[in-house]
Amino acid sequence: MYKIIYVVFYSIFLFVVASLGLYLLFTNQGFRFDVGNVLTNISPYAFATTGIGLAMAFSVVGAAWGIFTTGSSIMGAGVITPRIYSKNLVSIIFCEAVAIYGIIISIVMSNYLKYFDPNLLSDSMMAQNIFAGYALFGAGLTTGLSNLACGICVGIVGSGAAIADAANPNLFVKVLIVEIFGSAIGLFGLIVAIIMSTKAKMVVE
Amino acid sequence: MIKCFLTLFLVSLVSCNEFVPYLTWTNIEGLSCKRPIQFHGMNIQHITNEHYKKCLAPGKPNKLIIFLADQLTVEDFTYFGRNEESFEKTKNFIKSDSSSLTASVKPIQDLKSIQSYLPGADVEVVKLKIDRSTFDSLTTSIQQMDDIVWKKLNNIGGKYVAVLTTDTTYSVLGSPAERHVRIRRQSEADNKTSDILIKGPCVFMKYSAIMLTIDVKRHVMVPDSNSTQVGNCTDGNNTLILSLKSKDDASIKAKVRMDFIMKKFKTSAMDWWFLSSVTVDYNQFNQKNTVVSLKSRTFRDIISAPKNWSLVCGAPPNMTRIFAKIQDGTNLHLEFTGLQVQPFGVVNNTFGRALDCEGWFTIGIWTGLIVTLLLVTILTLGLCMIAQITTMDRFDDPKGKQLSIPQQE
Repeated sequence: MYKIIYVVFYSIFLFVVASLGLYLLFTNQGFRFDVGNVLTNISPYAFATTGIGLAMAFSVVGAAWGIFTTGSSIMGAGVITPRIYSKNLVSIIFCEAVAIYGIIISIVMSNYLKYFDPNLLSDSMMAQNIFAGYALFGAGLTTGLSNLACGICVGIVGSGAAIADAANPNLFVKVLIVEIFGSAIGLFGLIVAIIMSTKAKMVVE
Repeated sequence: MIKCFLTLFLVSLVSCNEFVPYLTWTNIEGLSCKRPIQFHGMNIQHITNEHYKKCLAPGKPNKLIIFLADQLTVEDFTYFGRNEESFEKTKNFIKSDSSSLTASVKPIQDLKSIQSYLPGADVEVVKLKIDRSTFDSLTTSIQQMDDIVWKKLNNIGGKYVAVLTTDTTYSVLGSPAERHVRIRRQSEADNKTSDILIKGPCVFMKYSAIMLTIDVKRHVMVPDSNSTQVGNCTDGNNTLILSLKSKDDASIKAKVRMDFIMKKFKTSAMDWWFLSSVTVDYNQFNQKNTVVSLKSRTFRDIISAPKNWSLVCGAPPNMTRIFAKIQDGTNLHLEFTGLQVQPFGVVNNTFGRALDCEGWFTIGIWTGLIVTLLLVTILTLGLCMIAQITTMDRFDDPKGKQLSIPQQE
C-alpha cells in the first residue's frame, strides 16, 4: 500500500517539475532556470549557521551511535563478568570526546558570526563575508561528518573490546590501540575545521 | 433591502440571460395578501397576474406611475448606487411598504399593458435620464433620479402603485458579462493614480513614485523639469537624467543620473541590459550640492533584463531600494514604486515583454526549502534507523543452557 503512495507522490512531483521545465523552455524563458543565481544569492548567514548546526548535530549523532553500540555490549558482557565495567569506560570516553570536539568547534565558529547590513558594504567587504559564510559551512560539515564516522567506528571497536575483555583480560590493551586509531580520525576533522574557520572574518563596515 | 439587491446581483452574475430590474411598491394599506414571491427571470405576466390583479387591484389604486430610467441595470443598484445615499428614498419606500417587489424580469415590450391589470388607475409614465459619461455624473444622476421619484410620490394624493424599471432592450445593455467587464474597467480607471511616463528617445521608464531618503527623512519626489537622455540609442550605453524636487519642500532638489549598459554575458550566452551606476546630485536647504554615487551591488543584478525585455518591479521596496552611504555617516537611498523600465530596444513606443524583479520564489524561500529539505532528510534517516533497532539474538538458543545470573550484593 505504501508503495502506491510513494509512486503517486513521485509521479506528481516529476510531472510538476517536467511541465515547469518545458514551459520555461517553450516560452523562451530558459534563463529563468538559474541555479547559479540561487547559489550566489543565498545569504552567508544561511551557510554559516547551517555549518555550525551540522557540526554540532553530526558530532552528537556519531557520539550517540558509538555510545549506544559500546554501551550495550558493556552492559551485556558485564552481566557475566562485572569486572570489565571500570576499564571499558575508556571506550565510552573516547566516544564522548567526539561530541566534545563538535561543541568546541561550534562555539569557536559561533564567535565568528557577526551581524552585518548588506546594503552598507562595498563589494570587497561583501565578498569577504560570503567567503566567511562558505568557510564556516565547510568547516562545520568537515568536523561533523568526520566526527560522525569516528563515533561509529569507536563505538563498534569498543563493543568488540568489551566482549574480548570479558573473555580474556589481556586482550583489552591490544584492542585499545585500534580504538586510539579510530579516535584520531575525529581529531583530523577538528584540526582542519579550526584552520578553515580561523580564516573566516565577517566585516561589519 | 440589501438582501433583495444582493439577490439581484448574484442572479445577474449567474445567469446568462438578459433581465432588467423591476421594482414596484404601493401605498395602499391594509392589504390582506401575503408578500409576493420574487424570483429571477420572472415574466411580467407573473407579476401582473398574481400580484397586481389578485392583490393590489382590490385595493383600488387611483394612479399607476411608471418610472422608466434610462438603461437601468442591476449594477446601478449594486455597484454604482452602492453608496448609502444613492437610493435612500426609494429604499425607504420599499422598506416601509408591505407588498413591495424587487425582481429581475425580461424586458417589457408594452408597458401600457400593465394598466389593464389595475383597472381604474390613471397611468403616468415618467422618463428619467441617467448620465453615464463619467462615474461622478452617474452617481449624481442616480441621486437625482431618487429625488424625482420621491418628489413625485410625495405630491401625489390617494393610492398609487409605483413601478421603477427600464424600457431599454437587451441589445443596448449588453449581457451581464459585458456589463461586468465595463464596470471593472471603469473602477480601475477611477482608482488609478497618475504614473509618470518617460518616453524618451532611448530609455523608456514608468514609475508611480520616487522616494529619496536622506539620512532618516523620506521625501517623495516629483519631477522638477523634463528628464534628459544622453547617448546614442544603439551603442549599448544609455543614460537617463531625472530632475526631481521634493513634493513637500521645494527647496530639496535632486538630479538622478542612471546609466544603463547592454552587454553579452558568457554564461547565459545572451545579451542583457543592466543598470550599471546611479549618481544622485542633491542639495537640501540650499546648501552646497552633494554628489553621491550609489552602491551598484544593490541594483546591478536586480534592475536587469534580457535584450528587448523590460523590467517590471511592483512593490517590494527591498528590490527597488538603491543604497549609498556617505562619508559622514549619512545614509541615502532612492526607492522606486511601480517601476517599469526598458532602456534598449523599444519597439513601437511600447514596453516589450516584461520580466518581474521578484521571480517565482524569492531567494529566502529557496534557502528555506533547501535547509528544510536537508533537515527533514536527516530526521527521516534517523527515524528509520531507530525503527530498525532490535535486540541481539545471536546467542539465543532455546534448547541451550539457561543463563544463570550470579546474585552478588
